Amino acid sequence: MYLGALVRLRAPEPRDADRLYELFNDAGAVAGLGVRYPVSRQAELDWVTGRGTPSYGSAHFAVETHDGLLLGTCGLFDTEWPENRSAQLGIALVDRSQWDKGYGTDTMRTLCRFGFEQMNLHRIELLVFASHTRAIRVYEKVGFVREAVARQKHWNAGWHDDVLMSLLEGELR
Amino acid sequence: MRYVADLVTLRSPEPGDAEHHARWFADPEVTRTLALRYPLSPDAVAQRVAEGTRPSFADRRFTVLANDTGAAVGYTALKGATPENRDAELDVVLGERSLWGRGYGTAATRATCRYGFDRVGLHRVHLWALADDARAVRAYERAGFVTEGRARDRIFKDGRWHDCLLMGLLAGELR
Amino acid sequence: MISGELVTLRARRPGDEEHAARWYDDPETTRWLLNDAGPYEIPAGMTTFADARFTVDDTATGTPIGTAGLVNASPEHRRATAFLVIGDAAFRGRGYGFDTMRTLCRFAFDSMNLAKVELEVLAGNDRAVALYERVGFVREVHRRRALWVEGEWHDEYLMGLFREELR
Repeated sequence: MYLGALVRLRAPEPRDADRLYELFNDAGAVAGLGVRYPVSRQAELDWVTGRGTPSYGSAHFAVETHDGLLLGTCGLFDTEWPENRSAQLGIALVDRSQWDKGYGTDTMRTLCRFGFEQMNLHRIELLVFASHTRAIRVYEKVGFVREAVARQKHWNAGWHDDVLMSLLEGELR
Repeated sequence: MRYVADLVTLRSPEPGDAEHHARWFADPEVTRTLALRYPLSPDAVAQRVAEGTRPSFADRRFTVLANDTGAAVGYTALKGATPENRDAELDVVLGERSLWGRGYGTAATRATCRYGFDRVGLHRVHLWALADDARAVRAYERAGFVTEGRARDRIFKDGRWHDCLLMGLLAGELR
Repeated sequence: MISGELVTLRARRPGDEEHAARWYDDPETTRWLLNDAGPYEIPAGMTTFADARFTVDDTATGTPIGTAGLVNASPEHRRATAFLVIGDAAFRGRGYGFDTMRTLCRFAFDSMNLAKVELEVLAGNDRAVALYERVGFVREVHRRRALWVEGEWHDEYLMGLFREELR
């Protein structure tokens, strides 16, 4: 368990599968995430079962409020070259009724603090849809820097740009 | 498979290429700009080459031959494309150091991207270059690649952090 | 290939077992080993952060003279445990061990991005301790009666080296 001001990060549990199934099938909630195909209950169960033991190689978490309401998932991964001390960050807070309450910012801060303090990372990077301005604002608020615009990087009824952002150790706000 | 272009020809990797690869990877000037850090055993080299002999949409590798001599001068690869986004990461390694500076790098880059757009149906090709690898960056720019940004401290090698440039090329931009 | 002044550290490959069998046949080698020398393992595939074990060649002649490596590397703590065996008696006491350990530690810091290299050594192995101290290692722990070997207790030192201490 890793505690933030508003949320806590814990290892995913099989009991999370049903709620994740509902949340990840809300098209409005996952539009900014690139979730392309519908996700089955079994696929969610497989996902949480495979991530019950977060480690340096794959640190995925369930995000919940201090009251225990599951908000979604987040994680640090792509660490197969520990020499670079760099990880990719993913975050999916997919309960739309809980947006705009500061949970996203707090999850980002807590996850990045985990990456620097527990995993001893030097760099955390992420790719975000250039059109996803709400998310980009949150990332910038906690200290992420825009580094590149990957042009026409993904297809969704037309070609769209992605933004590469990163946070180095010492930059977390 | 043989894909003939200016100056170079791309062909499918063959097990016999392991010999060249082992020689190239033993040259510190070649590996200086690669992610490779650890010495490779002959078995590990053979395994890498063997992986390249089974091409797929997401993983295509090529042995680059010089048209004038027919000798293998390096290898290239297009990796990680998904059918929806059709964006592959390009690798270009010119292993024969004696042939540097003669346009083979640019020619191999052009040929591989041309193949990717025309034959594979890619929409975009991207690559990561070490920010201070001016020679490589110039070769990519000559082929039409655009620097899309600079990732800070992305690689640790030779005792220090290195920035990396993200470079991208869209179908239609290849020169 | 990792080059020092006298030695080259390279990936282990089939054929090295025969040399290793000779090294481990020498009681002068085995008396200082902390563990029983099992079969000389040739790791399949790539050498990695998690398993960086090499064969040491004399650069001038290409002769395999021993083995060295870094094991138990922790990405979070950024430290690993080094080991060194100069198995060919003809290459002992001539600076090959020193060059191997220094080259290995430089690799640990410059390529693997580790912050610390540690090693364990039997307390009576004065020659090795002196060699490690020349490289820059500091004796940090004296573990009393740490190992039961051939009918008696042995003490063991734990030594450590930071990047800025490497000489």
